[in-house]
Amino acid sequence: MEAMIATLVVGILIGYMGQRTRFCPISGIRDYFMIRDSVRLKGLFGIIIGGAIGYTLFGFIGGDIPNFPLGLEDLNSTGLLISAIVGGLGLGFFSVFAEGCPFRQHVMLAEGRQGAMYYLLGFYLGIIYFNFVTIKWLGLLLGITG
Amino acid sequence: MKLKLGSYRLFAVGIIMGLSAAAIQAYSFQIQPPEAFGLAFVGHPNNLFGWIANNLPWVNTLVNFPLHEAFLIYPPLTIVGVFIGSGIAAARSKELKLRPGPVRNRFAAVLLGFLVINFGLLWDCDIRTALLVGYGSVLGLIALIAIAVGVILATVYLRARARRGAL
Repeated sequence: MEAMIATLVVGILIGYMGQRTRFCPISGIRDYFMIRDSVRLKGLFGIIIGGAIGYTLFGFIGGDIPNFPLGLEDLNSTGLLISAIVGGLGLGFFSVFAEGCPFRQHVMLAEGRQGAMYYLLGFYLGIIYFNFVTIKWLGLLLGITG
Repeated sequence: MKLKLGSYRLFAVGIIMGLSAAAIQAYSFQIQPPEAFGLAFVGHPNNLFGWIANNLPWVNTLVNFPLHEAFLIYPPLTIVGVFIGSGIAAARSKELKLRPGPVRNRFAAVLLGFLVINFGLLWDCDIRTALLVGYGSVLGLIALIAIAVGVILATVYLRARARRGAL
């Protein structure tokens, strides 16, 4: 129950801030490589630094932060490594054409952008497809690669 | 007094996101495993969608979506919160109105959403990847580099297409 309420509250907070600042890490990377504009890229660095500070601080004062720092601990399967690389490449590539990451698309839908509505229609249909089809291929890949 | 952050406003938002995700994980208990899952815009929508489907009468006799252990009983409401928060912000700044874009071709928009979630669910979103880097994950760093390479490839393609169009 706490997790549900906490995610709702944090969602409202970051949704508000995200709309006001046009926050989008994908656009940050794109802008930097396209027009050498680093303004939006700072958001990405902010998450990394804020996360590192938060996990260190909350872990230090008794919060539940297991296996921190993770290091190479989650790098124990070739299949997971391939998933991370292929998934990351695809997410980055197609998000540029969609003009924003999944977070930004949800914010744009709340603003009334029709393109974001169709994007999210495909996004949620994709969840069904992934859970019925893609996941089986992924299982096969993990089985082969270990 | 208004705090003037200039171009560092986005950096400050990122810091708040990182701290919030860490706080959720540290103190809202059942949010893990996996690690650094306090904020995720592929994983959380997937879990919310799956939770709704698994708990809908009739539908739950047909499907059983795999959910993260953290969200078996209660779903993550991050996306709902983002809708509420950004809706309030858009209304306050008079930006809440129906308008086209960002992708104007409807079919292309649906297809892009479909492709992004199918690649995204192989790993997770850019925001959780950045959180994992903050968590010290080498795999997270590799995934972030992969995302950046994907963005660069798309940028190179768009540039080449624009150049061809200009000729």
